[in-house]
Amino acid sequence: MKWFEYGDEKISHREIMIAIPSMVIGVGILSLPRSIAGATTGSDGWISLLVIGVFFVLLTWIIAKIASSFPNQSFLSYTSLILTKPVAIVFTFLYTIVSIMIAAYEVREISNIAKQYLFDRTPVEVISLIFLLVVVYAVAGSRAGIFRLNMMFLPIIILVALAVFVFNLGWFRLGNLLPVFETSLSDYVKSFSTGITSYVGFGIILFYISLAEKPEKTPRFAVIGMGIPIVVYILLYITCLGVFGHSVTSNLLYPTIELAKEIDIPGGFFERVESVFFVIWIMAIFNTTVMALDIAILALSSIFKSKDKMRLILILSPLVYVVAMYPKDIEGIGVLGNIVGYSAIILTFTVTVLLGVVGKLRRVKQGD
Amino acid sequence: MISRKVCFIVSCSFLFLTGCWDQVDIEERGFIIGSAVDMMGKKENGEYELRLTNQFVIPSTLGAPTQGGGDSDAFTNISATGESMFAISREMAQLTSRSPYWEHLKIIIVSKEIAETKNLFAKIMDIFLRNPSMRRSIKVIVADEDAKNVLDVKPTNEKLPALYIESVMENSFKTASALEPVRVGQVHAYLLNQNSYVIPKITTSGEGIQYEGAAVFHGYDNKMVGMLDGEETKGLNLLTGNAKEGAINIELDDNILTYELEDVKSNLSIDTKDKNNIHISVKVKVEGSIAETFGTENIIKKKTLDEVEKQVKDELEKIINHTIKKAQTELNADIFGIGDMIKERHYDLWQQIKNEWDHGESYFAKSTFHVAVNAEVRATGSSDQTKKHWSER
Repeated sequence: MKWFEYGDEKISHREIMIAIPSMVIGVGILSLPRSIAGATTGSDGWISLLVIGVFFVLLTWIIAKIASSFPNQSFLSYTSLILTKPVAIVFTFLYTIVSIMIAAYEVREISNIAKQYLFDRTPVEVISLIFLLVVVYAVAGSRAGIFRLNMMFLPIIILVALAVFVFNLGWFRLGNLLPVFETSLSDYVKSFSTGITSYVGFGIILFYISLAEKPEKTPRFAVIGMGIPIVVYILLYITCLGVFGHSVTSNLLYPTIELAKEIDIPGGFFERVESVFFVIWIMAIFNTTVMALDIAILALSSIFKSKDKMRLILILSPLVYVVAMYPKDIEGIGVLGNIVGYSAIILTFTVTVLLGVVGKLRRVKQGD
Repeated sequence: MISRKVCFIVSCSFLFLTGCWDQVDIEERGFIIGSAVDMMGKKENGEYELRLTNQFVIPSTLGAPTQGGGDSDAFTNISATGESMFAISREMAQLTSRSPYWEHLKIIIVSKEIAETKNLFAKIMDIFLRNPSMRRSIKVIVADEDAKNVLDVKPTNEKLPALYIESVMENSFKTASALEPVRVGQVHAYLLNQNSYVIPKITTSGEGIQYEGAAVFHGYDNKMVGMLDGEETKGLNLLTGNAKEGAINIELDDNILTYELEDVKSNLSIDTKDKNNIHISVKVKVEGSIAETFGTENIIKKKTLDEVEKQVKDELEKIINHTIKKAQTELNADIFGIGDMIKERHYDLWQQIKNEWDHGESYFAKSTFHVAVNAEVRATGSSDQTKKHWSER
């Protein structure tokens, strides 16, 4: 059997721009409105989403700046330059672990949701396995193929988010958004801590910029890419509040899915629009999972200098499956989600700060 | 090598292609389109004995529109009793050959006794809000009698009672004396908040149903405290601006004149300087036309029109004030959503009064309403006079 090879393993800066939102938008937004509304008063949650978003846009820009100043060098090699080799290996290894956990979490969460809404009697284990097999198939191919899938899926995903907003305008009540600016500072802080986990994933540019053709252009495009999830999140959050009101939003398990269920196209010729929403959103989660697994493989292969991708996939994907199956109930999945979210954010934040500060102090430049 | 790989993939696929866990043939599904819940009594252990009646569609008798469906009923109502709704619905699966399928549920009817029992209405709604296969657009109604009776009506022009009731509710905008249908998603918000709310009321009359009036619930204990009749509901709809169409009868020189409401806009403003006497000013602007008159006046004269407008204004103010009085004194329930408005616009004040809004200290009952209606006659129909009463001259 032959693998189809694309002509180039290089990606353009536009593909970086698309990859970031494709990675960030995943299962998080399905339950995000609940946790944000639960922590804030009235419609103030959008402020939290914006503040966290802007903070991460800034972080993304710094990461892109650092990574793009070492063109065509992998994360391991430029981190070794700045922070010495052992430290670089540790961080690369940590990234492998976090990426495996992200992939596992996405697999488990989407299987759970699919079981709840679509397959009543199919075991979660089977749904997860089948989803994971498709993910493995995508990862096993060319890396450029993944980026092309992103390019294809992201517009559809954004279109569906917009459709959910437009078709719900009929149920939208502006009064539901009031009162505004009543949240106390401590509540904002609480909402920040629940909100940050939905922005996980922008760290991929640490690895992917080394593949970019014109690295000097990536910071600007990475920032634009990171802006997309902010807009999508705020749009869906406001729609949830306007349609359901504050108290219902904070009590629905998956407000965004319920939003899709609310859609009622007049005339009755097309009912059950949420099935379309599910299909599209599974594409979004598929992209996230594929890239997470791909980063794990990219990181690991840079440590072991292994060229055999298939072997790494065969080692890592059972691991993903085991981690995904570990939580027993919905509470356990939530805990896994929090661990994944916080560890990813803390890791990326630490790496960025270390690279930035030490790089400045030691004046490491390419070719030193 | 290749053939071994292919063999492996093919044998793996057998694992997944053998069948589908969730497959249920459409012929084996029992589509439920309406549910009615009644209370049969209280048990010794303090739990209530509930009766759930589900209306199942029998697709074969529906037939194609041109063929007609024969004489047999196109639905069957199956009842079962028990303590929890889910237990009842499982029991029901044993009573029918088709497995109950909830995705197409359209209406939920709850009997008056359930509504009058503290928190029971909220308990029953749980399953409709929890089951992921049900939609949040299911309509909720309170029956003035046994809820089962309502599902048993045999409308002459429709085959399925539940769909008949649903379309009657959809037509509610034709008269101002019925509430807009309330969806179970809205009920979720009602149950989570502590403000009072109204749910449409339904009664059977002969072969059909009458969809008029409203059941008033207190938000803090989710208990029905009373009902509004058609006229009082009209007052409520006028005040909140939800009335779309409707008719008002006035008397002009001892003859009935019917004014048709065509557009109602209401504007509420709240003065919260003194929380013990909140002033609420209600400005209602109605536009409409003269639909019918029994008299013989030249109605296109300015004087006559002014008189009509004045009479309509007085009549509407009377209706609205009557509803306000009933809500404040008899029911002590804020059915107008004033509490929501205070919460939205005067959040600090709301934090102080929210626990004593329409019970306890009852700031709602202490507040003062100022109602001002502005009525306009936009059209008089296609004739001026249609008759002359020669005999009365």
